[in-house]
Amino acid sequence: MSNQKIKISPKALNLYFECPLCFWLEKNKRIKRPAPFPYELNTEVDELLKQDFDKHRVRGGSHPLLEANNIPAELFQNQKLLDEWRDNSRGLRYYDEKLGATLFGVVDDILDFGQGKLAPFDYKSTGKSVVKIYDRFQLQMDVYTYLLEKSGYSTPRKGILAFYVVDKENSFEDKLPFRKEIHIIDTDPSYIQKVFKEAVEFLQKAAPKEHSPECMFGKWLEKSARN
Amino acid sequence: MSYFYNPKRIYGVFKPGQVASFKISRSKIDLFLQCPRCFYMDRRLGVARPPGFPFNLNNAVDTLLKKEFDIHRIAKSSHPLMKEYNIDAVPFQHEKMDDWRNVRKGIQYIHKPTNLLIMGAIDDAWVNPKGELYIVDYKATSKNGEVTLDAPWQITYKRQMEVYQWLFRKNDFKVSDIGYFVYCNGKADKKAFDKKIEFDIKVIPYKGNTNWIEQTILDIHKCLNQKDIPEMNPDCDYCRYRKVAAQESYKFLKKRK
Repeated sequence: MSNQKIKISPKALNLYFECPLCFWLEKNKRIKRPAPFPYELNTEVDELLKQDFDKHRVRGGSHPLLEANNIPAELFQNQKLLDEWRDNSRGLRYYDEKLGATLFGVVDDILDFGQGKLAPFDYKSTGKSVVKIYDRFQLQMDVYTYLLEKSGYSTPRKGILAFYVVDKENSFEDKLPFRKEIHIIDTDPSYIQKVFKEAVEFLQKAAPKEHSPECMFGKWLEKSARN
Repeated sequence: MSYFYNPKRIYGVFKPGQVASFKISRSKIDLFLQCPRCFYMDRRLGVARPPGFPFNLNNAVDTLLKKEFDIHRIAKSSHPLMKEYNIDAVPFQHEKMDDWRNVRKGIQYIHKPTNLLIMGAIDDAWVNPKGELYIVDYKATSKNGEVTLDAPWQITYKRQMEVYQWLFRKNDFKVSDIGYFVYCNGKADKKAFDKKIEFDIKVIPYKGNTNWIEQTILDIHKCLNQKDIPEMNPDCDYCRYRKVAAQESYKFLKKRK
């Protein structure tokens, strides 16, 4: 099998951790778990935020949300490059010649902490009352940090998450109101090369015998087959 | 994924010959019509499709709309949207409204010939001066252009409305053929996102036809009582996935033997 085409995103790595066989089937056999109905409102929030942050970017890069939270950074000023990193078909990417595989990530935004230090900035929206930083968010920020460093940027080893949480105490009046919460997490890119390599090499081996014990699709397939 | 999934339920499973009535929600009626095989595996064998992440922004829109209509329910006044769309009605006041909106209860009816307990949870009901109910469902999305009910997949919305209308009629309410979708469409062209999604809200009337329901319940009952798993719907994403995934797994097993 040619591994020229192997492209790994944080989402794929996450699947690899969750269930190696599902990952193997998706990447090697194009057998993907059934897709859910699209999350249109979350996509909408992302879209609106991109527009809003771009508007502030042109004006010099400060943003009320960053100021209110005392974040010593500006919006990354290179719109052209950011648009490339936001593009699903391009993204922030690193091609590993030895592995013959690409690790890539599609960002929401980038913050500039000065002296050339860049950090990933991601928008998250939820209708739940409490913000939770899932493991997959940490992995995503670690991969982005790794990719920025591989692209020759220095980073503050931070990831910034802007949560937009539905404010259910508010009234509707044709609007879905949100409250905002910024969370800064430390990022650690040191293990990413290792898991990237591990995942790519895993794809070149024979498939594992079973789904992981936690895999819902594996359980479902197993129970289906018994009937 | 961190939430609970039980791949082999022992509750909510139909046993042929059972004396107790068996609960079928409106979404399971829809599942039956989408794919009888998935329905049978779920309700007869206890093996449900794995769930996806919840649509919690949509749920939040529902919650807030309910609160807003409740203000008018208590005041017995019509909501500005009703005025805008010339709908002569007010939100319906009834002691069971909270039950009808509760997904665990909903409005229920035992279909005698099959002993199936049909149920569904509504978003709202409005009442006109003649005492007729309009069933109301809230929808939230974000797309360019006008929202409509014309896409093929929206048959599921129409069936949903019709099952509710049928259930209310079976509970001796006078129900109009017309139901309303309060359809919220997030505006993508907003100048600045501060801390809200703004919606264009459209009220779309839909004339329901409940003729199919009786026969479908009989079909469901027949399906539940059969010994063999029904054929899959060739368009069912889950069955297609299951088929190819199982074939691949089988190949590996053979190789290793």
